[in-house]
Amino acid sequence: MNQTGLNNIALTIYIGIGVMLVLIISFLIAVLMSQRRKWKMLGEMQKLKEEQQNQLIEGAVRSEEGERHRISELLHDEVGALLSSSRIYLVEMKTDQLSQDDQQDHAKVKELLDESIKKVRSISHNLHSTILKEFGLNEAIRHFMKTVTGGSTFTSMVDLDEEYQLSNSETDLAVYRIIQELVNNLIKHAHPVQIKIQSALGKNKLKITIYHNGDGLSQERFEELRFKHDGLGLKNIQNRIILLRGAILFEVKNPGDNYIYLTIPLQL
Amino acid sequence: MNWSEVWAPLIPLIVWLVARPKHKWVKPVLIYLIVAFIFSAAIDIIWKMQIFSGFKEWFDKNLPWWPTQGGYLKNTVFYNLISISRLLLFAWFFNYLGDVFRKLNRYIPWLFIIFTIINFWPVEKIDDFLWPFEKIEDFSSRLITLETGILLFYCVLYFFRVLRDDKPDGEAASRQIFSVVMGLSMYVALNFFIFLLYKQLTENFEDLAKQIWPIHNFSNIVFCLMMTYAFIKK
Repeated sequence: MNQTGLNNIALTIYIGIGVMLVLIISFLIAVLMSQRRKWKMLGEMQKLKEEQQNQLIEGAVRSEEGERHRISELLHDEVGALLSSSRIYLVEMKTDQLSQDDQQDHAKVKELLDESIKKVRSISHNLHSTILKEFGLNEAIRHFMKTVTGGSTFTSMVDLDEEYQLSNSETDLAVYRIIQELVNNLIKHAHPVQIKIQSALGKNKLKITIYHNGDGLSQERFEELRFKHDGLGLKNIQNRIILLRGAILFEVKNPGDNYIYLTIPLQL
Repeated sequence: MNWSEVWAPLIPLIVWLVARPKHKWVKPVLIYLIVAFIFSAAIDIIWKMQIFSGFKEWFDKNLPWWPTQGGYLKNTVFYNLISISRLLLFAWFFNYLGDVFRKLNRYIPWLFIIFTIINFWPVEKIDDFLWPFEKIEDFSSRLITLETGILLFYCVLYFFRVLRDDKPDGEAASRQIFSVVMGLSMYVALNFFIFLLYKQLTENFEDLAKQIWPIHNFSNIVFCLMMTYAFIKK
């Protein structure tokens, strides 16, 4: 075969290879572009889903707070007022003519009534902290720790950054509730001898460290527990963390050397 | 490009030794690389070493049945063997990428094996039969083109599947698998016409055959690099 024939064959092969290459590259470009578009859409959907989830959590937290407020008001204004009136009547009762036993009973009833008034007030404050509203987060944490430590088997230490004056009352309330829930859980499950709460104000974030020497909870165990039906408290903590766009980290450094780190972004 | 068919599969093999990816689909790809390395080494050793004295004599003495052509030892049987292994192993690889491939794999690899057996049926006088049988020791354009055609079909089907799938984060669309299929599709697309005409070219236009073979080697290097990327990517 002559040179022209050879050139024709070579040209045919090169055209064939070229066509195949163009076809496959077109396919690849089409697939890559479609994948990119899908990723973008998936990202947007994820964002939307996240926003929706946050709205749901916010709604649930708000309704819970509303309910707490309502119960707190009822306890304080209705039950508290009734108990206080009862105490007035009881105090005004003339006990001189009563027998020795009746006088003792009267004193016992008064003592129990005082205890009940104190308890109702404490529950009411726990449900809706007026200290938080009036004196801020630091004072509310101090007061809460003082309350839970009183008459218990553990000691507490609170070292809070005084520069933190802020803030958005909803953030403060959420942080307060998280600490409340965490400390209550520690008392109930970890049985510590010492609890230490520290806070440090960083650049646009508040870092809170809770140290305790009881039975520690690892991050993995926390993740496990918060999906359990009875882990409502941990679920609430996680919901509030999501709402604050913050982070929580559990660390067991050594047995009896446990830390919980909270990082809360602040909108100053 | 010299010896590239031998060293190119070594790149992903070395990376595999370091990274040790654990995906199911790695197994067929890894076996293919080992097979490709061994057969390609055999191809290059037989072809390039016979110029040294004693090499061909050793074959004549120990393997007297080894096919020769024009006084040279033939190595083309290994191209056929690589081709058969490639189809079977990548059919296994595609098996992990969805039901459609599993359904296809119920028939296609078996049909290909039947075709291979018929194509290389050992008959004494090939010209006496209506069906143009081939000898397994000869480069079979027919077999290798069919193999690349089937693999090209699998690749195109995979791309269609990824295009139609609403979720971009499925395992089949993962970057590792995508890069393996991308490398394979480039390899089979670039070589389809080369394999189709290669036997004719080597018989009638040897210079042209030599001229276009670097395209095969280049696409093989790209294919091996894509498999390397798939092994590295977490």
